[in-house]
Amino acid sequence: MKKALKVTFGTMLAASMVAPAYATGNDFLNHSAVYVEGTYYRPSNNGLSVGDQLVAPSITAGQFGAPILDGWRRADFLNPENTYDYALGYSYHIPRSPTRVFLRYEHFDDDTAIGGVDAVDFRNIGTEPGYPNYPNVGPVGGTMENAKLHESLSEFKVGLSRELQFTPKFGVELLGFLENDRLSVSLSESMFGTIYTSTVPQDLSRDTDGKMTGFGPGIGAVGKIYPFSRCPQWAFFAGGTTTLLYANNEYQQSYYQTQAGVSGGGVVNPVFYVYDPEDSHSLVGKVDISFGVNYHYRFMHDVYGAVFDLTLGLRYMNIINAMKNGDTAYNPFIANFAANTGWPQDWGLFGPFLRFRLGGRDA
Amino acid sequence: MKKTLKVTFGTMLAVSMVTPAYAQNFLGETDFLNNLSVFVEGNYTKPSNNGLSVGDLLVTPSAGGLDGWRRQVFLNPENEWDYALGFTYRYCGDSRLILRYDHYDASDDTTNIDIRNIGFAPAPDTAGYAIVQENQHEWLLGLAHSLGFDQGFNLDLMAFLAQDKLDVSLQETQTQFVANQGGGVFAHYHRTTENTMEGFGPGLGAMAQVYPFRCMQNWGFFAGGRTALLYARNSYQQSFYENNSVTPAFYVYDPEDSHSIVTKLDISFGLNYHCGFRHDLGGAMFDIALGMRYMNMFNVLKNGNAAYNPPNGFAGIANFAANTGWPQDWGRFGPFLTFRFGGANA
Repeated sequence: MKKALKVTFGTMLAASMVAPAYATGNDFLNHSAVYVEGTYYRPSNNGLSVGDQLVAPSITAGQFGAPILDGWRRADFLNPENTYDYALGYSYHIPRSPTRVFLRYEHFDDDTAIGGVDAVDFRNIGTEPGYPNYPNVGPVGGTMENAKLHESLSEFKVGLSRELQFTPKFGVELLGFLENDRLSVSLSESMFGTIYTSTVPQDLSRDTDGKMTGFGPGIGAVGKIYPFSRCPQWAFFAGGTTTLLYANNEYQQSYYQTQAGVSGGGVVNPVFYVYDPEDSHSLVGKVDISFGVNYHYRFMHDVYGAVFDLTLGLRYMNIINAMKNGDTAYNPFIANFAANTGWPQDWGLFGPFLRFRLGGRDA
Repeated sequence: MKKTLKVTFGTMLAVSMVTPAYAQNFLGETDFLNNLSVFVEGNYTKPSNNGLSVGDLLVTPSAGGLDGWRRQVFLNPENEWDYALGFTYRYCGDSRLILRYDHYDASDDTTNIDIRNIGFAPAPDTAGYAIVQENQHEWLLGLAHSLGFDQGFNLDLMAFLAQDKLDVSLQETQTQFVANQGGGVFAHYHRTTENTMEGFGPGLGAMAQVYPFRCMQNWGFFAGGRTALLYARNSYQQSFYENNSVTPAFYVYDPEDSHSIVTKLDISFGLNYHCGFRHDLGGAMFDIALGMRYMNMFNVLKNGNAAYNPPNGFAGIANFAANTGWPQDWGRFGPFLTFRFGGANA
C-alpha cells in the first residue's frame, strides 16, 4: 500500500507539472517532457545465507584419527520478492537539434524476513544450536532465529541523449551521462535458546551494514524498431547502459551475546565483537539492460499537440562486486571468530516496469 | 578424436542442410532460401579457470610448527576443440534473425604424492588424485541490424535472448597407507563438488567490419562484443566421505538453490573473407572468418553462497565451517574458424 501511494503521488506530481505547462504553449515547455515509472523489481540477492540446518549427522568418528565431521547440512537463504516502487524523470529537447538533456531518479526499497517455526535450530552467527533431534550425538539444545534483510537503492542520472533515425523503421538513441548510486544492504540476525556450549538460554544478535555510494560516467544505446507500417505508433525497443562508478564502501558488523533473563540484558558485560573497518574505495562496473514495447501518441488538436508515450518493458541491472563486505582478510589467532567479514558480492535487480511520459509538441 | 568427430559431424550437418536448399534455390528461386544462411564454427578455446587449486606440496619444512614453503597445485584445462552451429535469416532489407548454439567441454586431472588437500595433512605415502570437468552450452536467439555507413565500414547492432548452462564438477581423492591399523590398511578420503549455473536473459551487441582494401573488397577485419545479463539459478553440492565402504564419516553441504543476475561479456575480433558465386548455385555466398574470442561471466559460480559459520568456542562437532567458497568468474578464450554458406541475399 505504501508503494502504491508512492506511485500515485509520483503520477500526480508529474501530471501537476505538466498540465499547466501545456496550457501555456510556451516554447520551453513545448520542448520539455516528464515521465513517471512504476516498477516491480526484485533483487538478484546472491549470497545472503542465514545459517544452515542439520539434515543428518555424521555419527562416526574418523577411523584413522580424523575428527568427527559435520554431517549433512543445508544452508538457508533470505530471498526478497518483487516489490512495487517508482522512478521519475525529465527531458528537454534542445531546439533544432536531435539532442536531449535528461534527468532521472529511481528509488528501490525491499524487505524480507525469516523467523519463528521456519528458523528453528539454525547454526548461524558462529553458534551451534545443539542437537534436539539427535540426543545421542550431542547436547540437546534448541534455538529459534529471526533474520531480517533490508535493501535500498537510489539512482540519479543526468546526461545527454541523441537520436539517430537510420530508416523510417529503425532508429538508435545514444546516451552519455553521469550517475550517482547509493546502495544499502542491512542484515539483522538474532537467536534465542540453549546453544551447544551452554545449558542456560542465551540471547545472541548480529547486525551487518554494507553501503556503497558511487559516482561516475556512463554510456548507452537503445535501438527502436517500428515494424508495422500501418501502426507507426507501436515500436519495440532494446537497449543498455554501462557505467563505471568510483565507489565509497562502508561496512560494519557487530555481535552481542548475553545470558537470557539477566537484568539489563545486553548492558551487563555482554560478550561482543564489532568489526568496523575503514571505508574503502573501488571502481565498480554496472550493466543495465532493458527491452519492451512502446506506444506513442500525438494529440492532433488538443493541448498544443502534446505527445504521450506509454512503455511496458523488462529491466535487468547488475553492479559487479558492489558490496565489498569490509574487505578484511582472514586473521585467525586469539579470537575464536575470524575477521573475515565476507567476500565481494554483486548486487542487481530485475523485473517489469510501466512508464507514462507526457511532453510538449517538440519534446 | 571425439572433438574432431564433433566438428566433422557439425560440418556435414551444415552442408547437408545447405546443399538441398541451394539446389532447390537454383531450380526454384525461392526467396526464403535466398535469404537463409547456415554456419558452422570450429573453436579451440580454454577456460580462464581461476581458482581450482587441489592442494599443496611441501617444498621445505620449517621448524617451530609453522607451515614451511608450500606450493599450490592447480588444475588447468588446456585448449580444446569444440564447435558452434547456427543459421541466419535476412528480412526487411538489412535485418537478420539469428539462432546460434555453442558447445564446450573440457577436463583436466592430476596425481600427486604427499599432497595436503581436502582438510588432511599428508602422512608419508599419501596419493592424491583430482579431476575437473567443465561443460558449457550457449543458446542465442536474436535480431541484428546492419548499418552500412559507406563501402569501407559496416556496423551490425544486435539484440538477443541468451540461455547458458555451465557445469563445473571437481572430484578429489586422497589415498593413504596407515601402517599401524590392523597390520596396515589403505584409508580413502573422497570429496565431490558440483557447481551448476543455468541462466536466461537479454543481451546487446555490436560488431564493426572494416574493408580496408579497395582492390580486394572480399577481405575485411571485424571486432565487436556482446554483453548479456542472465537471471541465473545456482546449484551447489559438496560431499566428503572417509572410507566410504565402512560406516563413513562424512559431511554434505547442500545449500538451497540461489538466484542471481550474472553479467556476461563476449568479445571477438579477426579476419573475414567473403565470396559470392556469380554464376553458380543461384548466386550463393560463403564467408570464412578466422578470429579470437574472449568470454567471461562475472561471479557466475556462487559456490553455495553459504556464509562463514565458525564454532563459537568449542562446539565439538563443527570442525569444518560451511564456507564453501566465494563467487568466481568463469570464462574461456581462444581462436575460432567459421564457415558460413548462404543464399544470394543472405
